[in-house]
Amino acid sequence: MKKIWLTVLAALLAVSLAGCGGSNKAETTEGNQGDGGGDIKLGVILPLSGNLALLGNEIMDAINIAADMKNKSGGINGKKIVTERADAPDPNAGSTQANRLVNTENIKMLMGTYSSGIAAASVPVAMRANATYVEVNAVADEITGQGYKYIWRNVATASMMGSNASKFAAEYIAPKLNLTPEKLKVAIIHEDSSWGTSVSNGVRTKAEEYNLNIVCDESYSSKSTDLSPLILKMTKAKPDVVIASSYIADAILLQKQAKQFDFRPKAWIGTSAGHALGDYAGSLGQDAEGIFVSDLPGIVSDNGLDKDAAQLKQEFLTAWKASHETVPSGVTFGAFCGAWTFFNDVLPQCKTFDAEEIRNIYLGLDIELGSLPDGTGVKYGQNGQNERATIVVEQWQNGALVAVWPDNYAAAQPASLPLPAYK
Amino acid sequence: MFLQNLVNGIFVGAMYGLTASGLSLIFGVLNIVNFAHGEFIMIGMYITYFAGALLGVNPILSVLISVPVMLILGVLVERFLINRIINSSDMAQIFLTVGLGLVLSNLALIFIGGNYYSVRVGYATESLKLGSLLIGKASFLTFIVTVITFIVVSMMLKYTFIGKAIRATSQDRTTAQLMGVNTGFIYTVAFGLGMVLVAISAALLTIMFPVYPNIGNHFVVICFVIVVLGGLGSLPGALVGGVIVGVIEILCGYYFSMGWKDVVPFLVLIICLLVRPQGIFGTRT
Repeated sequence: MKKIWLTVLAALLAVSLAGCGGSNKAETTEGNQGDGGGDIKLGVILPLSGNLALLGNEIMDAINIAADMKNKSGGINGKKIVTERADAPDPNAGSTQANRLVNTENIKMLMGTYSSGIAAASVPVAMRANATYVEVNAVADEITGQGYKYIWRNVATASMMGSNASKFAAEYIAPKLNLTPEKLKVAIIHEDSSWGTSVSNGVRTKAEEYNLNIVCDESYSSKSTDLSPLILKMTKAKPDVVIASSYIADAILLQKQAKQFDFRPKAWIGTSAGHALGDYAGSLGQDAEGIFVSDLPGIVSDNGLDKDAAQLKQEFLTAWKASHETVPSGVTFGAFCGAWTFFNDVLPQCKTFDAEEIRNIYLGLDIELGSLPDGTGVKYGQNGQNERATIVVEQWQNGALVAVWPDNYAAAQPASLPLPAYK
Repeated sequence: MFLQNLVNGIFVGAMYGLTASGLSLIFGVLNIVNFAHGEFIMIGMYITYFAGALLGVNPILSVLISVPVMLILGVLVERFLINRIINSSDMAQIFLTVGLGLVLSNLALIFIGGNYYSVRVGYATESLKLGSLLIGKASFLTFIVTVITFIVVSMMLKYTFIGKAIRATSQDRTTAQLMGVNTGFIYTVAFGLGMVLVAISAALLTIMFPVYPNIGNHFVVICFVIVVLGGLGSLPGALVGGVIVGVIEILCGYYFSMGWKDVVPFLVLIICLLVRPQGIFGTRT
């Protein structure tokens, strides 16, 4: 027995020493970087099982499509991009998977993560190992607010998502209802996790800037099994506009109970997440019609894109439709664009693939708005946040989510304003 | 608004009571805390959803399919899994049911996927108007079915031979055995009956909630609170505990904030455990 324990201890020691000896260079296989052979490995940390698996798997597919498209056009200076899937259904798993990838697998380029909570656990592990982390979805403001050097987020932040909803209410909805922003009564409701709280902070700050009349401001648990008190509070406050940050089960419950209690504001603006999923409209049918969603841009009008971006969008949509029945959401487009920028604009310039080199390349990128398929551009700040990330307002029209605001991204005109009475 | 909130609370509480009743019954007879309860709710909800999507069956009528299916599932789980650890340590029982729950939710994810599926029935969003009161048709329906279910199950436990055997086993396993009760068989019947209650509650939940592999997590914590509050193993306790929690939740959510809605039931539970640890209807052992 003693021998077995000694063997196990020796093995553990050997493994830990091997982990300590890792370099901060990205792993390639079969050959050295720059000689035209071998693969470039990218660790992708996403919730592929558990609560968040639906979008986690869609994001994985979008990243793989970007990698396939790049590989088909010759790869990275002859090298093939290979993605290493790492399932992280919760923050603990996120931390474990990041540790495995950077210390055991010695992969020093990571991508992820969809959930801000999982990103908050996995990003610090990567940063401690001097690895590059490309965040293509998680929107919590703190992710790029911690002073990390090697985090790169291409999508907008949660507070941008929220502030855009208030901006839309003040600049578009109020005039359409013949009201000044000061007269527009707004209810702010949000689920109480880090994501919902970050988004609602953006909603509140911008609403106060515009002097919107906030008549109700409430948080709730996304696992609530009854939201009738919230609906009754809003019934009493009589808001013109509801701005809601919800995951999907609570977003559906909110609408069902709003109809039960005949609560119908003039406009309802969701902020990404639950309101933007196809299952939301699938569950609610006609009751989802006319709901606005402040979201990462999904399928935007070609008017807001340059020629190359429009063509890339079509190529992505063709590849997507070959394996999916649903249309890609803003989250999926964000993942594709983040991955594509990394594969097409960053990696081809790399010689050593280390995080410092990649940082210099990212900071040097200057790609105009409308140059990517979702209408965004690329210009990173020192904190790793893409300053040309964009938020648009979409609306559920005839069962599909279409961009309606601002005009240059709009694929259709806003409709159902004010929302018609329930049938 | 007070009356409206009170009525809403009673209806929500009835739903909680029915959802927790299967858990309570199984604990009362088998003395096992079933941590896979949420996943069994999930399975019941999927059966209701697919019965509607594939066969066009109304959620209420779907119990004609889900009850026998869940009954058979319950019998199989009890015979092949629970039965083997019935006399083992608490730890073994916890690991088995937690593990079973994880397996079931991940199997659902693998074979059905992570999509959120909903049944769409008109009465899910319609209301009855009684003066100034608005009563959701779905909530009212749930309340009626809950009351009928509790009456039927209580009568069965009180007046039928099998019901008496279940109660005897619940009260004193050894004495029941000495009196000739086949307790092994009773465990199987009780677990199956618990699954029948899960099937009925799952059918009603599907009217308002989308179903996905982890939907059980929404209900399982509140079920444990209700079962402990009402008294472990007590069916009337589950109903009363559910209504208490439902009313407190709704009133706190409206008069204080939605955050308090999730805190106060636990405060009540803590107070109850300090004052009456066996729960409202439980008996001290």
